[in-house]
Amino acid sequence: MKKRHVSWLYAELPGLVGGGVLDAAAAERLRAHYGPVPAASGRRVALTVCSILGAVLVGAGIILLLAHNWSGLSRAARTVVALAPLAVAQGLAVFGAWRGRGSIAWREGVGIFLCLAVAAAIALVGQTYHIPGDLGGFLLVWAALILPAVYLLDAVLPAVLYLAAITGWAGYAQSVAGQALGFWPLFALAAPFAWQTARRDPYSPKALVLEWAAAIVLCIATGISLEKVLPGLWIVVYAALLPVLFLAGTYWFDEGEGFASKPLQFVGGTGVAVLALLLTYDWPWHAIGWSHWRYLERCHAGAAWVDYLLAAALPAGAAVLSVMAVRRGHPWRLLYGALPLPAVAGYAYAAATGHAELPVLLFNVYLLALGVGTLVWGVRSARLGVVNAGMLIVAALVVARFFDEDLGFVARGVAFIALGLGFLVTNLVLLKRMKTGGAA
Amino acid sequence: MNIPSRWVVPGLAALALVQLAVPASMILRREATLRTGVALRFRTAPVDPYDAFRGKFVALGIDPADAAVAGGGEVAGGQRLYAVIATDTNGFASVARLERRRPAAGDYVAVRALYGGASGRLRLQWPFDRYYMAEEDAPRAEAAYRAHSRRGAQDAFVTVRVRRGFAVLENLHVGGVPIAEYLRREQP
Repeated sequence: MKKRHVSWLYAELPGLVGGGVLDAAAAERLRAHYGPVPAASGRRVALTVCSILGAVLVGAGIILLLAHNWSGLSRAARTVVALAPLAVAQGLAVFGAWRGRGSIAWREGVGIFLCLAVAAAIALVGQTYHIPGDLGGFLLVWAALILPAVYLLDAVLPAVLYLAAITGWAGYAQSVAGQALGFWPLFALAAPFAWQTARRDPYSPKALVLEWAAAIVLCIATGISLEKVLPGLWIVVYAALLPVLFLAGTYWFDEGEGFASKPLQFVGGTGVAVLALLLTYDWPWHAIGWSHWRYLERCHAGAAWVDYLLAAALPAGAAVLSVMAVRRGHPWRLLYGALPLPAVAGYAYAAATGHAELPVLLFNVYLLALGVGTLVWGVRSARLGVVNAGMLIVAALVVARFFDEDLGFVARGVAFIALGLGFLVTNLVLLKRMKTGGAA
Repeated sequence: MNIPSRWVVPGLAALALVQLAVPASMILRREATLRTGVALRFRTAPVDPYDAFRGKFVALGIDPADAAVAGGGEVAGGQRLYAVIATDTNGFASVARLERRRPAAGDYVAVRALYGGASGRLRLQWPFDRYYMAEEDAPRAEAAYRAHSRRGAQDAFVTVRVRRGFAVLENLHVGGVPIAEYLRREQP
């Protein structure tokens, strides 16, 4: 049973005993069965953060002190200086593991120190021998050398560094007219660790940090890895990826409190609204489709199969998750799951005709429905954050259209006042409902 | 996947060896080249003043910057080629020809074609394009390198050690002396 569930149960026991639901002996048996609740997570998080900051600062300070006298050192001395922090970090890791794996704070601190020491060693040797810069090669080697430490130390911050390294590598590979398909197998190498961490407790600080990192990295790296020989396909891919993230979060990871405990929902939901707003303009719909196929040297048609695979698989995934959400009794989530529909329809129309009016209209309607639907969902479930999100979406759409149209100051002023009054009135109504016993 | 506890210590020890092996192999190969490789001198080419110094190193332009592929034909951007080295009357390296395969004998350096092309001369990417300097020496090193790399006043050059096509930059010379020596002499 998860720690927070045990904490909740223990908090309930005095009331249950006092109300005669359980006797004191039964309450004691429950406490004996589940055992003591570990120390307050806030304290552990503080310890872990201090350990990490300490490791990073000590490592950086050592490098800075040695760099001050770098030019006076022989090559042999520089080699020792380059490898010494790495040897120390490795020694600490082995020592800690030999003594029994250590606390989370120790493992995270040593893990970060080890990752930075690996990078520093390679970089300092490169400086000593004037090795030409190859940022892509450096990031790839660094990622390969720190990935095993992620599993062996069971530390999440090295995993975050690994994700950052492979994303950086993908960006570099694409920028030098290569292709970045290698990102996906590299990402898959970290997947077992992410799965294992989430399975233990998906709402632990460790798991949440990893989920946030993975969600953000996926959003960035998907766009980087697209080969883009077929212009505009990114619209379909992102219009499916973001709902998949949102729906997966609401289906499997919806018990957390607060937006920090819902990374997939936040990244996916915000992404859906932002993407839909972008697609209410006409510029994304120009020059897309088969008639604008790119034959540039830097575009590799052979690597474009990933574009097609994502454009097919992600909308299918969004459809499946939408059906699952409806079956679970959450029809409001269809608002977000439906984003691929206007995207695919708009893409097909713009590609076939070269015109943007219909896709623009489709997305204006969709975004309005998304905003109003989110607002209604928030009102019905008495969730102020959701209500405000819905109002924000509607406001963004109205403001965007107002700046598009040739309207005078008076009309815009009235609209802003109306929007502001709308926010205030809605919040007052909701607060009143909550006070008179609306659902929490 | 959960790593069993009994595997963690041996796993970390093995990882430590691999992590040390990467920089160690970089060092050993370059040390062997510096000790036993053939010494060559390459003139440095004029540089764009905006690129002459980035961070802690001097960006080098190497002369010759281009050469022709023996036998002509299509070359892809980034393709590895082998620059067969000849020495001119002043003792500076020049490229006799570019080969697609590793030569069986002689002095040569593995290079890459900067851009693809059908025939004619190709822009070369030499495996030594930067010289790292201590940060406090950077501004004066930059000024010295630029002054001695201008067209009509090029007397800067680099010494490189080459062994079986693998090249390691040994030193940057300005005004006939190593850059460190030049900066010491010019120190106010």
